[in-house]
Amino acid sequence: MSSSKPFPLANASLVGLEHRPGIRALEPEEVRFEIDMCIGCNRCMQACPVPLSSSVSIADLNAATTTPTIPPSIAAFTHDCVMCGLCVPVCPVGDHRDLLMLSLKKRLDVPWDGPVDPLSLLSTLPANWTAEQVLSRVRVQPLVAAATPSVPDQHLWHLLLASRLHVAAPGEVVMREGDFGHSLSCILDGNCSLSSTGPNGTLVPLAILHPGEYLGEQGALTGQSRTATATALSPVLVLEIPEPALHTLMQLHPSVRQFLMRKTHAASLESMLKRMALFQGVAEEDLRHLIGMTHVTYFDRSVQVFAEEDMNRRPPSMYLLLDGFVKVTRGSVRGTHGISERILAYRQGGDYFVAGMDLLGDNRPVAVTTITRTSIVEIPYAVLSPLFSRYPELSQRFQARFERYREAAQAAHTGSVPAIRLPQMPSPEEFARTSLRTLVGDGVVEGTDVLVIDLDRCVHCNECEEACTRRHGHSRMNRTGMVVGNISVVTACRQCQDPVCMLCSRAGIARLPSGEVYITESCIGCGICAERCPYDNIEIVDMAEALPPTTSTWDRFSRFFVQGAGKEYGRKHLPMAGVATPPILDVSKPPTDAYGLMLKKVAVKCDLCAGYGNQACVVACPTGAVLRTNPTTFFGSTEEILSRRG
Amino acid sequence: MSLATKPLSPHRPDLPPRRLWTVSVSKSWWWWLLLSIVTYAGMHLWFLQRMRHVSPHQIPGTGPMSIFGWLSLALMALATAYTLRRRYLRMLPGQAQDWLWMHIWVGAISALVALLHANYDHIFYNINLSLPSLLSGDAGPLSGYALVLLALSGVVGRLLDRGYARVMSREATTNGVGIPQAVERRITELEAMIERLSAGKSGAFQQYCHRAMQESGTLPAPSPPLASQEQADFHRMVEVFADRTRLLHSLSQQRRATQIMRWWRIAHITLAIFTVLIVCLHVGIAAGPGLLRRLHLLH
Repeated sequence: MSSSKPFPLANASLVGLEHRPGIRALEPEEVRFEIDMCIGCNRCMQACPVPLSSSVSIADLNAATTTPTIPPSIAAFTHDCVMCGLCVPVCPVGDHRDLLMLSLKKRLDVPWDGPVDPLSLLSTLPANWTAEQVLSRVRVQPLVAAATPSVPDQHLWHLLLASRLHVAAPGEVVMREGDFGHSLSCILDGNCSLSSTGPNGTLVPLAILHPGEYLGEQGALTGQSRTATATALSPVLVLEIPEPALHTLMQLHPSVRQFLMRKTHAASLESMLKRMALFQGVAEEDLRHLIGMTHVTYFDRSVQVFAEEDMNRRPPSMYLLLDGFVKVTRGSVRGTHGISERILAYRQGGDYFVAGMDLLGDNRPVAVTTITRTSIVEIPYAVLSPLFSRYPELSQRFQARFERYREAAQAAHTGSVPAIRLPQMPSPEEFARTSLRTLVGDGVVEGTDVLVIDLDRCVHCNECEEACTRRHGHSRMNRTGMVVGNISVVTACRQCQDPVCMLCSRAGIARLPSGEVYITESCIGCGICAERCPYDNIEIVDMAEALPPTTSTWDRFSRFFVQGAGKEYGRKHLPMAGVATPPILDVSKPPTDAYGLMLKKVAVKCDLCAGYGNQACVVACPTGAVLRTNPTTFFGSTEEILSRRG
Repeated sequence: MSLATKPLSPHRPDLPPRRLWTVSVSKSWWWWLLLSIVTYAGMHLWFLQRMRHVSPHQIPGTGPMSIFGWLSLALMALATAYTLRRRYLRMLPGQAQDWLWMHIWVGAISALVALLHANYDHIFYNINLSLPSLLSGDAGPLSGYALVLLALSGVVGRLLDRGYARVMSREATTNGVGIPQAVERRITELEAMIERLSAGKSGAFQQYCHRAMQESGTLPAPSPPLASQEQADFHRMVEVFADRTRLLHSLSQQRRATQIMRWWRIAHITLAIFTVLIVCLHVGIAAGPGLLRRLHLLH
């Protein structure tokens, strides 16, 4: 099974730059030209969110860019630069300061090529273990052993420093099913049992893991919750590699990524095929052979997988959705406002289609576009056809499914969706169907904890937003949002299953095991996460704005009677004692250290009041209209939503 | 959660049906109702038992009835605690809606217990709304009426909240945009769109747009004479203007509903302040001297 991911990252200087695919470094002549153009207005440094930008002068930065010497302060600033691009639009002469920074990054070594502090390394080692012993165990891990060319020791030392080594006592839970976690755990010594919760709530043993095996790759790569519980059977030495370190390793050594992707998707594809009614009765060896002949492709959001014109160019293969949502459309006749798109169906993980057709039975092509991040497996027809002849019931099930798709397509016909809203009201059927499909098309069902307001109860007192502001210093929610029936889906983080915002090279956004996605104290407010969020649920605020302003006595006195005083109760707990999570940023309090004082901007988003015992908005609502809920539980599963008629 | 489809209005079959998801009511609604019913039932039985051997000439609010005044005052204080929780003592436990249900049910029975205290004087008999009568009995009748009126205003408020919240919900569902903040933003975008469409056009086009924006409602007639290359943008402007008009109507409906709910709150709070003052006056006049005597501060 092969896989492909659409970004280059062959160049080590591009580590941590997944958000800038296709970026091109400037040639030396271009660098000199841009530096000559610079007028030294310093606007780029003022716009830069990196705290060190306050202490970097534009003259020193320009000098370092064009001369062989890079002073340590400029080197530190260059390492901190996240290539957010905020420096570009403010430049009055049109310089590409971000690309100039990239040229500096290329000249500096990748941090993992630098020396390792031996004392820091020694302090991470467990008792009775030497660094060389640990390194030798790490080197035999399949994901490291499979790397070509091999991973140099220097990179492994840095990986060890960035990771957590701990010894789990017998009976200790190393990984819990249902928790969210973004680390990959390698077993360096000892044995673990792997189990899953069965239908009756009992633990079903799955496997025994030995030294040299790893677990948690699904969560580390896809952000999904853990699918099994791992318990130590004996003292187990575990190397817990956090996601940023794993991503750095994968970016420096793409073969490690390919290995992990191949193994992960082979495992999930096997379990998916076994669960699918279509493939019931097919022998395991045949399934494994099928999996070995497949190809996985990853797509980002809103990417066209198939265009209608591609139908005849595509090989006759079956395409199976591993995860994510896509919409199947067909263009209508050109009208006064251009070609309108007709949404024929939505498909999710476990669904499939053939070449450019969606099995609608009319042999007409369709276009397929992703709604969320999606991985699609291509199974060539040449691989399927022997299975059809060996398993006649498989062929029959395909035919039956084909018929059901046709019926569902007719029932789910949504009509034209013109680009411009016409003055007349839509028909009741169209209206209700469109509203329901908004839940799928706009990704509401992707969330795990969505904030909704029952408009039949809401008296629009705005207490929810004000309570959020009181607790956090800046409101993390906005009552405006899409309205479906009597429910308003508020603009607040939905804690997506697969959060695309969690792409921070500074670990500025993280996820608690219980699922809350939160902003950490490492955030510098560069805005990359806000750009990536497809629902505009992340806001970047100036720190000066985020902190409560100092007010006069009269202001406080009058505010006491108009707005009241005090905050909602909810004791803040220390986050997850015993679990290594970055500390949660609290903008309601003034900074206590020099770094905090230099912070210019910060990202603000709802984190379900992580660390508190309740949610301020829900507690403050006097009518009980505000509710945090799992969308599948509240609105129904995707199949239920899509099968409802208007 | 239940799912239902409900027509928006039986009188407006052209409006699309709304898909309803029901958020379950807090359990505190049941608990406080039950507690209030049990409390009032107990107090009423006790009242009947105490009044068995009381002379018909007993002055209302005195003798065995006086204890119910204190009970009503305590219940009133408990009901008032909601305001403290909502505005000043937010650190008190429980959700705001639990406190509101407490406020509603306890507030209702505080008025009923006050009627027990007055032995229904000035309610079922001896009804006299003249000022001397209201101020008689240490301003007892006035405080009783104020409390009953306050409770009734609360009932009206609940009905208004339910009714107008649904008006706003219906508008938000059908206007294609949402709540007033979203509608205002959309209207601004549409007006900017109209400005962009009229930019660089002939004087007739721009004047027509200007008149259309000034006169909210139907488009001015007749349409201006336009060059052929302006026709497409003109049709587009008509569509955008129709959208804007529809949203303005929806916004005015929602704002009116919000305003009514806000006015009710102002009236209810004002009435509550007045009631608290009158009740305190009544308690002060009626019970003050006796209390001071007991404390040996008065002969």
